[in-house]
Amino acid sequence: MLRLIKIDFYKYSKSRTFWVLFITYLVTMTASIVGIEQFLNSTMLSKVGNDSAIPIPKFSFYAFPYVWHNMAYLAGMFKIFLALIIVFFVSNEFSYRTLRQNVMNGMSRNQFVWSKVLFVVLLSLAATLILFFPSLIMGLIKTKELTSEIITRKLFFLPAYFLELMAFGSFALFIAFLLRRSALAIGLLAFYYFILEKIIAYYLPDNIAAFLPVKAMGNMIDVPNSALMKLFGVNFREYVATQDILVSSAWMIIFVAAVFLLMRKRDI
Amino acid sequence: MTTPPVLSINNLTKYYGKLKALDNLSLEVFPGEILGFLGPNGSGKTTTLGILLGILKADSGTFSWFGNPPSHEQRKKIGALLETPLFYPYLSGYDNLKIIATIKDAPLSEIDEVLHIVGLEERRGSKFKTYSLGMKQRLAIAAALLGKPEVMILDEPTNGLDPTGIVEIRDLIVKIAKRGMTIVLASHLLDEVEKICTHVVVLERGKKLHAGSVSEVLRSSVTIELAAYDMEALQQALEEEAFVVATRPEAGLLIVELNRKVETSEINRLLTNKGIYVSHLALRKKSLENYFLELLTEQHA
Repeated sequence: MLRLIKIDFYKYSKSRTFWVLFITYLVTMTASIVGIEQFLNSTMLSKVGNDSAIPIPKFSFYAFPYVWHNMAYLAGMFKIFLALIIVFFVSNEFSYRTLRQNVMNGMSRNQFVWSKVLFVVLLSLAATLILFFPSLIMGLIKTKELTSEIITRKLFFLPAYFLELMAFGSFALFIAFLLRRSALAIGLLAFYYFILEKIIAYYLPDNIAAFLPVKAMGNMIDVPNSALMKLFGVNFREYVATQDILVSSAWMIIFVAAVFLLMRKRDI
Repeated sequence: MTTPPVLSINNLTKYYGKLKALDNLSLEVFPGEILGFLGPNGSGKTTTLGILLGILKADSGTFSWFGNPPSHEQRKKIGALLETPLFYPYLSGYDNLKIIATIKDAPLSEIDEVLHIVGLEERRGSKFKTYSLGMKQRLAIAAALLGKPEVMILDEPTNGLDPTGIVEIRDLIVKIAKRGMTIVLASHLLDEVEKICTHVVVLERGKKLHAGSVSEVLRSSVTIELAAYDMEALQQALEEEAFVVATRPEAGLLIVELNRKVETSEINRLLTNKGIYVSHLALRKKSLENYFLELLTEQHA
């Protein structure tokens, strides 16, 4: 396994494209986490808050333990970017024909697939850390009464976010192996994510639509409750539902298994 | 032969949709042989090599390397170059070889050795995409040499190169062959195969037309060319002889195929006895190209 990671490390560590994309993600993500409160308060709450008859309490997005939920939800909106990195680099192995080179030099087809699964794991892990550190720091600054209990209480949103990325990354992996051309694969992934699944979901009853891959993965971390929403009586889930975990894990396994099957019989 | 074959192929068949690209191909390669894989474009050479390297899947038939069924571990001991060089364009030659050495479990110290053999050590740090076609091809050979392979598979190694590049690559192959490696060389360039190979296999439309040693092929029949004042009488006189297989006129000469080696002086004496005096009599050295063309015309006749 270490050898497979080493091989992929050699492939990407000197790719400028990889670092440009990765650092763009890192900077965007950190800036979003640090700036989201300022942004929302100035665009939405200030106007309502000043003239409103009912006083809306100013609250912090960053207060422990809610920061984990709030920021994981925010970061989930950027997962398409990570999926594009996966699609781009995996389909390049087909267009450069380096997959052929790898296999004829003694990599088994399964090892090649594993190396890409590991790529998804490591990228998801990195993204989870990119979520963790800024959120932790913001939480430490903005929470008035710090206890270790309050810091870790809703930390389970982090593994949920990791699973969301793994499942979505497996979906991206599957599309890349299926189509083998980066433009085509990126197009299909974006089309499915932004349009197609929404159309399908529209025609299905809600309880069935919840089984659709993107929907299930997105459902895992529900919209965070804000003081404003509580005011209107809306109440979202503050926990991660077992059904969403199971459905997302099932999709992840199906997509990875499908990649192994695709590579079994096909000419490369 | 007492030594076991390095490679044996049994009844390999492969379809591309409805097209039968390989038709029950069987063959064996023994240690130390330099096997030329001949055939026009689309005859199934690359398909065969692709199957042997685990890239393409055969529809039926089997093959074995070193007497064992194929596995990815074995491929680490096979140096392969397949048509176009396949590398990461944004990495340097050295970094590309680092990936391959890691895949092959070869020590990284071998990289500089193979770069030296192919004469690329000065450009080791340049990105692959800046290489000329000849350099790309040399890097591919360097990659194939990593892991100290016992067999090399080279598919059209001089394809797309300029004359200097062709000579460079050819010299390189001869250099490698002298190390006693078994080599399978696919090419449609016949003089290339003739210069390098010890054995040939001729493919056409996925079928094996012929297999044997190069010297056997070139010795199998003898051709002479003659001219005389009365060409018709000359042709008639020769066709009466038992050792003559076929005659045909060509550019003012009469080309005669013999089924065994007959001294030209003997032929001269025979014709003089019949009252025919030749003005030209020469032994034609048979090239692989002539042989190949004959074989293909026979096939289509």
